[in-house]
Amino acid sequence: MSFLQAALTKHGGAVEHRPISPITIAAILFAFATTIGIGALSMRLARTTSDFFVASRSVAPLTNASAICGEYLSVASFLGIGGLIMTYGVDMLWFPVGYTAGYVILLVFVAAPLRRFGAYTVPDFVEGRLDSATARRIASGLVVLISVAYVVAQLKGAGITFQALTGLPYWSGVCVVGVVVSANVALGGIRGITFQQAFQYWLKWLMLAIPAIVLTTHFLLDRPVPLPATSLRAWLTPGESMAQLRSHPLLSTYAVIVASSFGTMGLPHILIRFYTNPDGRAARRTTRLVLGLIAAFYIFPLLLAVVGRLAAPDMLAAGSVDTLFLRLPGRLLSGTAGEILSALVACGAFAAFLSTSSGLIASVAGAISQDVFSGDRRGFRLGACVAGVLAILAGLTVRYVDINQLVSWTFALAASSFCPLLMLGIWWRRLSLWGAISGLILGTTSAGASILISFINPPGNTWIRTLIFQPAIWTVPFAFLTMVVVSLLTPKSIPRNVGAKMLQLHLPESLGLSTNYRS
Amino acid sequence: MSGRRLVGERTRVTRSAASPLVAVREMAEHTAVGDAYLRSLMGQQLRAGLVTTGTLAVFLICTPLVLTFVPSVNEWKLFGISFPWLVLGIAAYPFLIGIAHRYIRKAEFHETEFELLVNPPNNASDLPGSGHSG
Repeated sequence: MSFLQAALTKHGGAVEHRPISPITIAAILFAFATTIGIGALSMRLARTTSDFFVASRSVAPLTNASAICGEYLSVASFLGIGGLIMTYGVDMLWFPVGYTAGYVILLVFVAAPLRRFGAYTVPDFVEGRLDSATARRIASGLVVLISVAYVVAQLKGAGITFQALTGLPYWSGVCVVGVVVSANVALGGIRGITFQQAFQYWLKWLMLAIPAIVLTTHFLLDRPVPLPATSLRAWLTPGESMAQLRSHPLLSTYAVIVASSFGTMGLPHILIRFYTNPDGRAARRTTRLVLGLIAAFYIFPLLLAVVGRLAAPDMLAAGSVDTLFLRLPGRLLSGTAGEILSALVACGAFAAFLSTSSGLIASVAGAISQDVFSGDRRGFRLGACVAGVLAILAGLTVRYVDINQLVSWTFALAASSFCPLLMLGIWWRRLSLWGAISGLILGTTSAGASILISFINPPGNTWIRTLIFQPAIWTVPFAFLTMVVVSLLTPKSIPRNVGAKMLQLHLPESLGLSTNYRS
Repeated sequence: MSGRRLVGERTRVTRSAASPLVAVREMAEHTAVGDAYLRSLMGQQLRAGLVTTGTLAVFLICTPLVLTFVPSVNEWKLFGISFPWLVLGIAAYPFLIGIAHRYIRKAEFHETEFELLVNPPNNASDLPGSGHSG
C-alpha cells in the first residue's frame, strides 16, 4: 500500500468532535497575538527599504540561528514527524536525521560563499553568477513554486488542527492562517520576521518540551504494564513499517535521505537568512548553532512519540497521523492538566504554521516584487497577497495528504533545482548559462511531474511507484548531470568574468574585495 | 532597484578594487599569480568540504545497509534502548554537530593561513611587493 493511500484510509474515519476548551482557545490566541504583536512593533523599525528586506545585516548569531530554526521547524517537524514516529516507528527517524544533515551540506558548500557573494536571494545569486536576466526570472519562478508548495503543507496542518480542536470545517483553518500570515508579512517586512522567527523557535521548543517532559515523567512514575514485545516488533525493527508503507523499504529510505539532506539548501526562505550574517565566517558559525538548536528540538517529538506509542497504542486506530500529538496529552492525563498540555501543543503548532509560512510568503513576496514590480515596498506587499491567495487555493486541495509527504515533495523540488545550481555555481568555473538553465528546468519538471503523477494517478508497478513517490533519488543526480553535460557542450555561454565571481565567492572579507547587493 | 544595474555595480566594484596588497590586486586582475592564489584556497576548502561530506555520506549510506542486512544489530541494547533507535534517535545529532564543528575549524584555519600568506604581518602591509614574498 502506498504512503498516499495509507494516508487516505487513515483520514477516512469520522472526525472526533470534542467540546472546545477555553484554555486551548486562549493558547491559540496567544500564538496569533504574539506573532502579530511583534510584527506590528517591528513595523515601526522597518523604515528604509534595506531594513525592510534584509534587516540591515545587523542580526546577532544566536538570534539569526534561532530565526533560521524558527522558520525551518515547520508543522511537519512539530506534528508530522512525531505522529509518523508514533505510528510507524524507527524508520521514520530518518526524516529528522535527514532534515538535520541538510545543514551540514549547506554549511560545507554554500553558507560562507553565498554570504560573501553578497546575494540576498537565489535569483540574486543566479543573476550575479550567470549575468542573465532570463536565468534570474526562471529562478524567481522556482522560488514562487517551491515556497507556495511548502506553504500548502503548513496550511494543511492549520486546517486539520483547527478541525481537530474546534470542529470547524477544514477550509476555515486554511483560510484564517493564510490570511493572517500574508497580512503580517505585508505589514512587517523581514525585519519584523527576524525577531518574530527567533521568538517562534523558542516558543515551539517550549511548547513541545513541557508536554514531553511532563508526560514522560508521568509515564515513568505510573509504572506501566510492559506491552507484549510481539505487538511492538514492526515498530521497533528497521525496515518493517517502511515495507508496509512502500514496496521497497531500502530504496524508500535512501530516497527520504536524499530529498531531505539536499533539499535544505534549496529552500528560499532559509537562504535569505544567511545574508543577514555580517560575514562568511559568521554564516558558518550560525549554521553550527542551527544544527545544535535543531537537535535540541527533535529530542521532544521523539520522546513524545515513544511515550505515546507505549502508553496509548489504541490511539493509532482512529484519526489522522498529523493530529496525534494534539490528542495525546488529553488521552494520557485527565482533567485540567491534560487540557493545559493539549493547549500548549496547539499553541506550538500555531506558532509553527505562522512562522514557517511567514518566511515562505516573504520570500515569494521578495521574488515577485523584484521581478514583476519595481522592487519597492508596494510590490512586496502585493506579492505577499498574491502568494497568500495561491497558497490558500492549493491548500484546499490537499486535505487528505500527510503533511510530511507534502514537505518531502517540496524538498524534492528544491533538491532537484537549486541544490545543483548552488553547488556547481559556487565551485565549478565551467558552469555555463545554458547548463544552468537546462538543469533547472529539467530537474524541476522531472520532480514536479513525478509529484503530480503520484498525487493524481500513481502507477501500479512497485519499483516505478517507489521512484515516483519519492523522486529526489533520481531527479537530483539527473539535474546535476544535465547541468554538467550541457555546460560542457556550451562553453561559449560561460560567463566572461567568472574569475572575478569566484574571487568574490571565496575570498575572506578581511582582504577587502567584498561587496553587497543592497547596502 | 533593477537587477541589471546591480550586476553593473558589482563588476565595477571588483575591477576598481584598489587594495594595498599586491596579491589581492593580482587576484582581482586575474594574473597567473593571482589565479594560482585563488585556486589554492578554493582547492583547500573544497577538499575539507569533501572530507566532511564523505564522512556524512558513509554514515547515511552504510547505516540503512547495516540495519537491513545485519539484523542481529537490532538486538544490541544500551540502557534498554536498542541499537537502531540509539543511532538514529540520539547518536546521529552529536555526530552531525561534530563533523560540522571540525569542518568550521579547518575552513577558518585555511582562511587565516591564506590571509597571512597574502598579507604577512612582519611586512608593512602597504609596501608594494610584500605579497610576493609569502
